[in-house]
Amino acid sequence: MAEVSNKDSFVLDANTFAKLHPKEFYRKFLTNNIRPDGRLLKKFRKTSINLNSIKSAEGSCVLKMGKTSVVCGIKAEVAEPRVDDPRKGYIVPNVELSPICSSLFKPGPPGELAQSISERIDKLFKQCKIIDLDKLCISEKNAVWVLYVDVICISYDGNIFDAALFSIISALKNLKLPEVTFIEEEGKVEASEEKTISLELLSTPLSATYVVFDKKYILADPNEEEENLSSTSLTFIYNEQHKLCGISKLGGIPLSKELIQDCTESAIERTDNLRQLLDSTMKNL
Amino acid sequence: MDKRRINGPEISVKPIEKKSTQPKNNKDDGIRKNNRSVDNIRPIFIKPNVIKKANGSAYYEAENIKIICGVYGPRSSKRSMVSDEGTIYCEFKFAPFSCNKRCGYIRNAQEREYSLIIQQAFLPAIRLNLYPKSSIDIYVTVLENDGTTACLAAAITCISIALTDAGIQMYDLVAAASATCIKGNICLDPDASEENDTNSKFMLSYMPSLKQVTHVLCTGKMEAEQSIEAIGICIDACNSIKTVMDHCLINSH
Amino acid sequence: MSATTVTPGKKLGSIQEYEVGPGTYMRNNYIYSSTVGDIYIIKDVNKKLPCISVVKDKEQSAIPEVDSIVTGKIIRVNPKMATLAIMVVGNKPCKDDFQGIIRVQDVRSTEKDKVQIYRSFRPGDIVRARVISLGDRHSYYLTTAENELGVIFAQSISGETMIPISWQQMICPKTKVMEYRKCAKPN
Repeated sequence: MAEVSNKDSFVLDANTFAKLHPKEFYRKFLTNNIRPDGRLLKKFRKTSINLNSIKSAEGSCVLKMGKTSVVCGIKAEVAEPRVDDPRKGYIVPNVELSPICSSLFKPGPPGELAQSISERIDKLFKQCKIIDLDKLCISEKNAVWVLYVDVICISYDGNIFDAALFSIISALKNLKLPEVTFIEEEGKVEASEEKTISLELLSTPLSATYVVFDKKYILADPNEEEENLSSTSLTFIYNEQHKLCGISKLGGIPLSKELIQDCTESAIERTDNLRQLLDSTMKNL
Repeated sequence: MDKRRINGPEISVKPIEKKSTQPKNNKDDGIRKNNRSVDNIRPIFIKPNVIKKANGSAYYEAENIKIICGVYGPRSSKRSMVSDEGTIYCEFKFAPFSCNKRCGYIRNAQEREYSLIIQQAFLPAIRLNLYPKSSIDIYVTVLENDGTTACLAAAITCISIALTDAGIQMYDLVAAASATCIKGNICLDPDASEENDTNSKFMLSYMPSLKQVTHVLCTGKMEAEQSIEAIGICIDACNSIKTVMDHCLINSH
Repeated sequence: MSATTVTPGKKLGSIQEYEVGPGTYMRNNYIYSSTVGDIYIIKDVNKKLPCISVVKDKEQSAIPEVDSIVTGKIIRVNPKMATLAIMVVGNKPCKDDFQGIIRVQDVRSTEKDKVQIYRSFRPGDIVRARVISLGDRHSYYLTTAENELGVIFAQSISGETMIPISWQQMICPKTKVMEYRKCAKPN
């Protein structure tokens, strides 16, 4: 086993050193332009998706990004629309980080991380026109579709926002709703057995996340350890026309303009790759 | 109004299914639908070590049942009372999109009951005296539900694999089988539509090598002789499930 | 995978043929396997019967056992004890930290009544200790009362890694300020 000695001449093996002095362990790799899991600094982890595997949901996507796995399921129900907007349907996204995915999370109501990611995704849906909510109307003033978009994290290894957003967009693209009619006399909605109607997405915004370690190293697609050790996190959201839909910079230290512009090209390339992956997976269905 | 989650409208319902005007192509001349025999169990696929971050994990799939289980431990117990033996903690949850009707995020009474059943099913099987002061935490999420009793039985089988994957020492694997009574016959592994039609549910968990039953759950209307018959039939089913489990563990070792 | 891979509950032999080893247990005069793995039969000259054990490839998460050497970080000090987050047991890192305490009478073997915790450990120090007992509700009881046990890594107030100069003192190489710690003997 490789051994590392620190200045006190205590010899520790690599696993112990990584556990006791994680920042030093990372520095030794980053000075040689590589990360402990073997990736280059700007390399994203291998991503794969599996669509429509869950038959009880109207749309579903199972996504793996390295060791991070999420399952997104969409259930469609019917409700009365808001009084001030009698044609608009609802989209209700929620990300669940439960103890099954990592020992970081305790059982009980969602913690800060889950709440903030759900909120960011909800805002993205409200501000960028991803779905025309009028298309979710069944009968004006009486009934509209409510799409409950639930993302369950199965394995947590960092970068949950990218994984959650990509799985939601993939599941929405593959959503199949039944044909419905509103029965005036009973005030009820009747649905056909087969699910045939799909929803058109007006745009597909996807994200790319980076973290900054030690004020100088930019690491793309951080895993859990890298997220804990870094001081700042930076997320870019681009749509298919390479237009910027959002930037979030969470936490810590100030960043220079050059550092931020450095990431934008890599972010556009990454989001294009994800879109290609989604298109090719849908073709092979 | 759950303040910690994004909320939709206060009330939403599933649309009613249109009663189909054409009669369904009834291939069911037998007792069960889809020409399944009385002792037919849906083919099982189990894969261990799917959650890399957990100590042990397993994914279970049988046609339309999909379950994932993660085991963390032995780790220091937050709920510790000083004990010479380890403790088991289990959380069983249906994912919101897993059932026909969407379930919420907060655990309802049925999920809590199932969590306790799983704890009881595993108490005799794990060598808890090897893990003093530690807790073994088991988390099960059902991704797709096709028969709640069948899901519970599947969860117990899945957890055995996950515990072994985590290296936790056990006296024996625990296999579980579910059954219901259709037209006077005991039928194994009922799916959701069969479960809705009958009102008897039976689940048994069994340690095949030690030939001991760890838990029996019988609810609904069932004659006494039928329940005894069901015990025998489920024990046979558990023995065949054990071969699948052994095969899966040995191949992935 | 080999022909000798077994699963939990498999009968391996009788107690007349083998001794019980790790990964196995005895019931009704027979020995059974308690985990999935390969069978190893080791003949020990001192014992009458060979020892049978079942070894799993993937290592189980380490838990501290009595008399094992653990390494961890000091998270809290008060006049009566120092609290340690146990991170490594032997050579195996723990997935989740355990908690241990070093009481004032277990810091060193000489002059136990004159020990001052603040002159032995500070929060942030990496300490090597031995488990004395399973302890109480929250923590294991640890001791550093041996030459090889104690602080193996500490940072001075100015942030530099300190060098031990005796079993009681460490010095910062940059500012040359001396601080008190119960140091472990370097190997």
